[in-house]
Amino acid sequence: MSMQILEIHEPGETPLPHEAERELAVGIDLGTTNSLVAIARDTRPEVLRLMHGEALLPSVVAYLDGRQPVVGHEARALIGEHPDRVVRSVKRLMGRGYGDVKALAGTLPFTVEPGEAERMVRLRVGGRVVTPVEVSADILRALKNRAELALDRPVTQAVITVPAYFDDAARTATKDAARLAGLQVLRLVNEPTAAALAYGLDKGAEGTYAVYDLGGGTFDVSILRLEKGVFQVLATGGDAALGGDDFDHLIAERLAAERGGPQLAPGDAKRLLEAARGVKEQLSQASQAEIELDLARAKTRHKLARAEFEAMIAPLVDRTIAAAKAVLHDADLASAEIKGVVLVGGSTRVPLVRRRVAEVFGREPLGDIDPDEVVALGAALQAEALTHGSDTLLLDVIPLSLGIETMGGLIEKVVPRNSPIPTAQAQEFTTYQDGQTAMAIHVVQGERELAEQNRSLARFTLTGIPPMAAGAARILVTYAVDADGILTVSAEERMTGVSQSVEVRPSYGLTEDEMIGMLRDSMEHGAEDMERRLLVEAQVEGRRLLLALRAALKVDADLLDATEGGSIEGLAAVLDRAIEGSDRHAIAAAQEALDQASQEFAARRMDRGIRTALSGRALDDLERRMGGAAD
Amino acid sequence: MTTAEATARGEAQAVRACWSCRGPVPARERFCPTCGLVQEPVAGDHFARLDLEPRFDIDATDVERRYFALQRQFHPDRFAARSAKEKALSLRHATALNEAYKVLKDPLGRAEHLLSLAGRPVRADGAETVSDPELLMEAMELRERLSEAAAAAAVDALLAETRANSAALERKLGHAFAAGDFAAAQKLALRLRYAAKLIDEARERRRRFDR
Amino acid sequence: MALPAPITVTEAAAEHVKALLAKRGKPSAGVRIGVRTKGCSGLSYTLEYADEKGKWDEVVEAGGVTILIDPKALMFVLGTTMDWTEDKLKRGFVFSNPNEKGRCGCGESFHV
Repeated sequence: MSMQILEIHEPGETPLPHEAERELAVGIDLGTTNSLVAIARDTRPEVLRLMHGEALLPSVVAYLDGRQPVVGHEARALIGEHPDRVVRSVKRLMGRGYGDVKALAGTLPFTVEPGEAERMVRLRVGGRVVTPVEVSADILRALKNRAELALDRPVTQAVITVPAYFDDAARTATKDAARLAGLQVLRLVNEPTAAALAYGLDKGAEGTYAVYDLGGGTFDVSILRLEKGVFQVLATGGDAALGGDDFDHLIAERLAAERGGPQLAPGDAKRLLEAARGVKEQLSQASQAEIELDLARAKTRHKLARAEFEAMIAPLVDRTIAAAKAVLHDADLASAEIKGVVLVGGSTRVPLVRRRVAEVFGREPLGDIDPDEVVALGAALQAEALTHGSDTLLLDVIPLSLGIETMGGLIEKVVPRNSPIPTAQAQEFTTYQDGQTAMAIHVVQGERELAEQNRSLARFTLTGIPPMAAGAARILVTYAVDADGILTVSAEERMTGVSQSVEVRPSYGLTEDEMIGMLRDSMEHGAEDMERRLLVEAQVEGRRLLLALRAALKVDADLLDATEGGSIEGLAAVLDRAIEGSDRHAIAAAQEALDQASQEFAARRMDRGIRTALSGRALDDLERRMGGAAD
Repeated sequence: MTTAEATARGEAQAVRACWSCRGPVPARERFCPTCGLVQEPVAGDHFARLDLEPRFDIDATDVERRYFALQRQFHPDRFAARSAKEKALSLRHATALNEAYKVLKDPLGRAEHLLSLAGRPVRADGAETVSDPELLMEAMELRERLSEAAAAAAVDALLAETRANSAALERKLGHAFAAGDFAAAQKLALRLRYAAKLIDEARERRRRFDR
Repeated sequence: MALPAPITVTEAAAEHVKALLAKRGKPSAGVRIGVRTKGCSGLSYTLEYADEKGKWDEVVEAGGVTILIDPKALMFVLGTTMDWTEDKLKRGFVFSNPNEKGRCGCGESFHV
């Protein structure tokens, strides 16, 4: 039996297995205002910075004629000169349809291209039209490049964080953006959960904690129980369209009103918003802010006191406090039972926010973590856990109930909010007309009572129901939510076994054709990344077969004669070599050959297993070999 | 669980073939003893999923400990770097574990599950519910009190009372199941269901007072 | 009451530990066996010099050297034999582990 050979190392310096070849997976916080990328090694996470130490990448993209998109500070600096070429806060549009944003027109720093209500919104930027998915992909690409520079190796795998309150459409859009950027998403992790993970592992916290996460455009509040390495989300809530951006808008409106004059052009409006953001940041430090505006060839000076600012934003902060109370209620906990409150997101620097949070939870929030970095650090920890194993366990929940539309536009809840994921729930339907062969299903997400008040996730038609008398068909529809919080629906007619699976590409999502088109367009990646992923998959599969075969040979080698054994060993060696190489077709061929050659061996092993079982010794014998580990 | 008990529950007779190394796997094992890879979840009740005996009186911390331990083994996060088939199997195990834990940690869920295993489901919509006039009266009276509650304190009082009532019902359910008296358990479970519903409604109403 | 030692250390292994500790050139409490949850199938061993004995470390004295076992590692190494191996290509300590079931194929990690 071959053995692992160890050398003695200095304390803490034992190298990781496969250190040289192992692929690094990063954690990404794709934020409304800023984004970050981080990496963890040996459960020590760090944010990856540029040479001069900058950690935050502004989530701003500029599209200039004939140039690659410009991302970050450089793009933000262009807002002054080319406001119509710059996109910011695009996260607010992820998974949104034209109908969702039409109502907000004028308050958004976007020029929205008119379109169908239930279709993904498109933006007009300079001469081109882009989707939020593409803009997000540009930000992710910039983060990927930054990570590759810092780590000096290719980065193709990531854990990406999303607001806990993101619905299915926004989650799918985020995954699509990663795919466009050439990143394989190992897992979508909810932002407050990632923050709790980073906080809990760093501080060794145990007990029930609240995470209050007010970002640029989204608000989440989650309650988690941290115990012996288990991070269990008890309840989550929030508002996917409320954030620090809204504070900026209120300041901007105030400044515009003081300034007077005609309505500002979209470009000037964007500059005004940037100025408003500066005022907000000043007011976190000082009790009064002053600013000079130079818009539409008119210079004006303005003052704003913190007390006035707080009066302006109080209704918005109240909404977050109501959500926090509702989540406590959902978790069936009193605020006294919360051991600590973790603040996440740049907007929690606003003093009023801190005061109100302290009030509702009856304690000062924890201030010993950087609210800008903690989410990315948690994502990095999870990325390491997923690729290199871990002792911690993250048990998250679905933020919003899933339901289907029934008679009269009412909702029947199928998966209630705060259900632990992954989860699957089934429902049985029948036909209401003789000979009915199709049935329409409308899946919605949300807590309201009428279908039209909730987010429409998908409409689809089940076809191929065998014609029967009304009420005779029994159609079982299963809604499965995976660990990323993404839904798959499948249906089966139980009388006949006719089944179909529907991948829910949400109403607001990109169609598969659109995705393929975009992948083709992004020339740097596409084929190359796809090829790389297929190779890794073939290697994983090949290693699995070798592992299985060698394990089998260890116990049952006596079932083979010398020739058979030699031929199997030979083919295994061929597969071994193929896995070391980079030709996935060679791996597949070698795997197929080995699989064929070992068919007969497998059959003999099964025969032996069954014979032993019949002789009554099986369980004892197998249990002994098993060592009882699965108990 | 001993082999004899497992056999008595009809789970241990078969040997399955491992999907990966194709060797024999005792039917109730979750991992192949030869190659160590995860196997298809076995059909079984929620108790079996958490390696528990089917009984009403269970230790809540023990249930949780088993649930966490099994999720540590089967959660999709443990399989992120594995083959597609292993990922799919882990998803099925983890989904089943979540469902089992949800049902068993809740006394009402546990009671209903035991009754359905005994062939006496509680959710016989309609027929069962009207056969107990005493229960109906009680439920209507409590609902009336809830709708008349004008202040948070009144709702709180009703909540406390209903919770105490639920706890008493749970104790009685424990005795009924221990005595194998399924008819009594069925009645008690139905009353517990009404109490749970009332608690939900009262909490929802309490929440509105909080706003 | 004499419990059997949690691990067996061969003479050759003890000799090499002694030699390496002498070569380290700073006072050591011994060497510590640990287990880390890393690698492609879950766990991997660590073997490191110990500057001092951990509070809960299991202590094995063999052939004049002290082997400390991290309590987190104890359940994984219980009953193993620590030996020394040397050939043309590789030299180092090996643990033969009767609890071991799976092997990731790379020789660098195992699961129990």
